[in-house]
Amino acid sequence: MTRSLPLSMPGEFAPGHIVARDLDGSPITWSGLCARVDFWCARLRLLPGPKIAVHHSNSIEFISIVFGLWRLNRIPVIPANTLDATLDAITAETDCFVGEFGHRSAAIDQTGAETPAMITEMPQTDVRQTALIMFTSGSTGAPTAIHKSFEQLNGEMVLLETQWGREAAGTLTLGTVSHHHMYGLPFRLLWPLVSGRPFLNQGLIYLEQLLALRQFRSTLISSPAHLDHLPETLDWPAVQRSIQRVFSAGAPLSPAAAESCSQRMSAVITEIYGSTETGAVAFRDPVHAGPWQPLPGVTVKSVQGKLAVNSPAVDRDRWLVTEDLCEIDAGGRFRLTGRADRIVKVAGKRVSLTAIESALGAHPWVEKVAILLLQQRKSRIGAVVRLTDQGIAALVDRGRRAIGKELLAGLKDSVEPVALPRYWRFVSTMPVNPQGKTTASELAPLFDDDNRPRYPQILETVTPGEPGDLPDEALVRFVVPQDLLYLEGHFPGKPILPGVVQVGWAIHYSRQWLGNTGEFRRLEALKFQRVIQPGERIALHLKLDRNTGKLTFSYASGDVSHSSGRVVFAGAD
Amino acid sequence: MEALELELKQLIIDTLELEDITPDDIDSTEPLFNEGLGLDSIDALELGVALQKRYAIKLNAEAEETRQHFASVRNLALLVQSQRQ
Repeated sequence: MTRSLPLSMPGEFAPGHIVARDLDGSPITWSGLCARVDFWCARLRLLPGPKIAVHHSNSIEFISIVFGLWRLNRIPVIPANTLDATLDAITAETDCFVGEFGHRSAAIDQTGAETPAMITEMPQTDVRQTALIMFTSGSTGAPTAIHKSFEQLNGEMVLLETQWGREAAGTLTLGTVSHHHMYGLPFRLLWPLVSGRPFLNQGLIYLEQLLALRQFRSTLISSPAHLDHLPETLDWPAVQRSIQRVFSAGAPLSPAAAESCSQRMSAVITEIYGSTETGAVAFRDPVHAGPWQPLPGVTVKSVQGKLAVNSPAVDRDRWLVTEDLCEIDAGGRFRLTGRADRIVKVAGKRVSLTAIESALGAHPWVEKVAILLLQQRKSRIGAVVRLTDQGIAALVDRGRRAIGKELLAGLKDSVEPVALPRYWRFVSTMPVNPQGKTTASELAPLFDDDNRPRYPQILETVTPGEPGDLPDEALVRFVVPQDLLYLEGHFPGKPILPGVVQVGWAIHYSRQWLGNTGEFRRLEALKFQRVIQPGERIALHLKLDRNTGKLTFSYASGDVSHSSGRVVFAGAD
Repeated sequence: MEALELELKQLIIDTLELEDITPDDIDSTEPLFNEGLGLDSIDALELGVALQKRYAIKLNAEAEETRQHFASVRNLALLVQSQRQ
């Protein structure tokens, strides 16, 4: 029997009904949950609304805040994580932050005595109104806000209950995935809650925690982030009779990993296909990795090769066309053949990121590769590569440039020149989010550092003599950029230009403007008199004595001398 | 001439935000595009703008002549020098 959201608290269940359990097995009852909802309701009504961001690792607290907001007719906004960039992006459509948001969290009076029973009637809710706002994982770009109505959430509950409700009955739902996205939230919290099954009050961080919970029959909500790396040392036979079924979603689970899970846990492994927009769509046995079977109540069709979904978790009256390319068989089951939106435009040319990935992946040096469009670097293509042992040996031996050139050589026939990867990052592990997905938001920051200036912003350079002649002196006027890479951590709160950077720039500009080709020998007479701060206008004077190979430099602003020194080069001429 | 070539190499690296490469790695006579340094049509446009800004030289985007100038660092240096005179 599935109840509908929002629950008409407090009479939906018997007061002693077990809603959740803590890690030590102790129960949390329906009346306990109702008390927490009252607690939050009394405090949330004092906060500005209507959109309130919610993040709480404790599932009861999280769901109490969400229910409290529903009772106040407000809308929970649920970011996938609490990274600054994520929160900055949602600030515009959020009135305040409640829960575990660090300094952004609204002040909540935690000490207040139990609020007097404050029976707030549920407001009359139109099932088509927005229940909550979540965000897409941003596999291919910036996360997008998705509004979920009560009708859509209930639609998904019915789909899950119809397919698995009977056998899930009586199990404790455990999860290694966060309840802050559109897999964890329905699977870990909402579905168990409305079907009257208890859930664990916190996410499992280590699968070893399964041992502590082995007295309960359980359903495990997980992802390849955990299932790909089952701990060898765990006493698997001890947990074997407890886990009934394991759900995996978020990223593809390899048949080998699925086989290993199924053997060790002696549980059925079910892989779920879905997305934030569609909710759960289909399932399959990942050990055999056959076609996807739509959930009863969901139908699919192909729209110009793209998978289109009709589901009560979206809207029964229309088809939602995804960006997943598919092949549908006569029985209505389907296979996924790639992402349509991984086609990007570079200089007006359509480029398939997937095609570049598979071409690079064929090279014996490449173990894993992810290709992305770098908006922050003039929309060039970046490649994040995990090298094989052979590749690492080549990197050590021949250097980054040679590796990049060799890898590019294999792409020349199949990839447009403008779409060849311009920037390479060689990593020991692919960055993934907590759902085990490697998305653009994990990859793009790898290329950020280099976007920050390493050199000053030049105002003018004055050299005596005729152009084309090699001058012995130069005056470089510049401004120290605020976002200069070298100011990071030097020092927190009081950025100053490091002395070693001053020496480096003097050498750099002597090579650029004085044609200095000498090999560095030593420093002489280094003197730092006054710090240089970002934003300052500075003049760097350079003078090269070609006979002695000595470069004299000084940094000054107006009459004030900041620093000076001499660098000695060998074979300066 | 050598100084100008060095300057142009640095300009190419800075303008196009090339990584893993120093002026020493660029041969003045090697082709800038396709084989060689591996620059492409977007780079050509950017580089043209940077050259016009730094040396006030004029380029005709379509002319075969321009293609010649962009063939190598040496050719670019010759162009810059000739326009200065």
